[in-house]
Amino acid sequence: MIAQHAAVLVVVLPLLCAPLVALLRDARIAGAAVLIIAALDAALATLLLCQTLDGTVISYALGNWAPPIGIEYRIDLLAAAMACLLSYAATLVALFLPVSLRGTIAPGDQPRLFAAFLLCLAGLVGIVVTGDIFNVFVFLEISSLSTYVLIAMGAGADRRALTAAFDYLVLGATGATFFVIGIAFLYVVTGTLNMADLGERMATAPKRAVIVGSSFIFVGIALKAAMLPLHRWMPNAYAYAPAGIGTFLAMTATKVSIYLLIRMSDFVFDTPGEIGRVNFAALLPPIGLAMLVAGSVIAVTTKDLRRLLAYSSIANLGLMLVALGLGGIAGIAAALVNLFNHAIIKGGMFATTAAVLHRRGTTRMDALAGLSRDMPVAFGFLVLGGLALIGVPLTAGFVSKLLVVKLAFEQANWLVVGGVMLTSLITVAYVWRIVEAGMAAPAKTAPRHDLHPAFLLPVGLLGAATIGLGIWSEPMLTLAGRIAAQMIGGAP
Amino acid sequence: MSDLVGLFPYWAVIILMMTGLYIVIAQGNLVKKLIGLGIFQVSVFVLYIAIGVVDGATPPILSPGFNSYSNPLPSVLILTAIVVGVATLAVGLALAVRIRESFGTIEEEDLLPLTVPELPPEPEARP
Repeated sequence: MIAQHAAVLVVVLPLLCAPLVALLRDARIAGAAVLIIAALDAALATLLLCQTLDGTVISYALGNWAPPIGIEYRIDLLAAAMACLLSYAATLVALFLPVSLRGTIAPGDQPRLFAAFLLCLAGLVGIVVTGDIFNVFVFLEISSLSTYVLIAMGAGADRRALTAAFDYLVLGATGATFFVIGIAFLYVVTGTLNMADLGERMATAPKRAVIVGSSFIFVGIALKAAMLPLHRWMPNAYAYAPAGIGTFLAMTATKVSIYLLIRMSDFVFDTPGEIGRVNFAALLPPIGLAMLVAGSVIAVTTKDLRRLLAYSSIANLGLMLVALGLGGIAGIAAALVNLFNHAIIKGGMFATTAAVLHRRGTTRMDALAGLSRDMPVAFGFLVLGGLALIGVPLTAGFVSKLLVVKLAFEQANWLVVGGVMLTSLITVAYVWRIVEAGMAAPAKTAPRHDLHPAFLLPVGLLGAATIGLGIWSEPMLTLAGRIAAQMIGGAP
Repeated sequence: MSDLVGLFPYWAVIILMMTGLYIVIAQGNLVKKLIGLGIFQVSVFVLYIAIGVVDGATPPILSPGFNSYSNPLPSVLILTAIVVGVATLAVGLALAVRIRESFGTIEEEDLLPLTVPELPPEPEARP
């Protein structure tokens, strides 16, 4: 029964539980409830992954209305893998979220924050499981609206969270509106909202309307994916959101936009031999390279650890776009490996940063002095994440960078090879800044006061995965390869 | 000439859309920005409703004697988008109120020096 309906339960569970959690009075009970719900959702997502691992595509007709007339939840390997990433990220964050909120957000407000967190999870999971393009818009807005609220909750520690949330609201709502305009154009010429159906009918639809529609959709997604030059909202949002929320967003929000790009590439991107499609793939390498270089350079100059990590995320998103732009099964596979590995590496670093923030109350670079002595474990995990960002062998970051460089090498795309190499050097510079700041002698010696126990499990797991996926990279590569093959070969 | 009259709703959409987007970009006042956002979103509502209309057709209610109906789906879709628009506006205005309480202003040029990353963090002032 549950296995049969897992496709819809994975969205419905957090969606229905959110208002119930908001009604709870006790912050501790609400925090525990969020952890249980996120873990159950992760179990459902794992179930979906098991069901789709052999290549089956689950098609769930909502309310038993047969697609393409009714709304269809369509879960292939990519959707299941993304749902796993999102729900596991939520579970790990839920482990330390209550602790990280202590002191900055009144206990009375916390249940409502947890509710927004669950809504955000429901929206993000909804985006990946639905097969209906208007549904994507609705879930996009559910996740965005809750994200605005979550970021604004950071105001208890820093009032700039309010303006960060407002900036994101204006840009995010504009981007989402672009997305709906695009849907309108595609709907007019195809008469369908089901994405698989849309892809089929697009081939014979009037070319100009398709180009306009897909351009609007591309810009809408680009805004959500913090693509240069539409990235302005992202560093502030990550730096001022409550620490646990920042970790969750870094692991999920922009990743889902990259997912959308891949999903839309089913019909938005050019496929050889078909007419009426726009080739956005050609745009991606230049945008990606610009993000790679600009993100890394700005990361070197920042004065705050969370802001540094946010700019580094822009660079890594650039790497994913470059991989996507290189095209083919190998390109999509490389982008996916980058996506999952980066979520794990950056998730671990942001979680560690949350632990540092919890102990020190600030993440300014000059306030990190003495970190290697007072919080050696946290410092160790930060350095580990930094090494993975550089792409040192035996870390997950090495595998992701190697894939992109290898692909570019095969295509004789020297610009990409050079760009990735150059940014690795710049990455060394900003990772060294973290090491230098942490090793600096503190003004006064503080007693050793390491990670709060709540952070140990998530930080440890993500750190272990960073090394594990670097040494034992085969399963991830196989999974990404199978997803990419299903996208290109099995796409209707 | 016939394009001008026949496509009237679409001309209105384009004008509304550009007006809204211009206000979002050009206005420094946060509430005016939200008004611009509202106009931008309304233009999309009009666009959707316009594409559902079929010339010479009746509203989609089955009855004998009529066999050409307008498409109800875009109107239904836009009901959802209207709800989303209202929610966005509500969250935006709530944020504007809190920004006014904490910073004492909702003008972007006055907010800019107060929100540069170099400043030390300061908790929000709640009355």
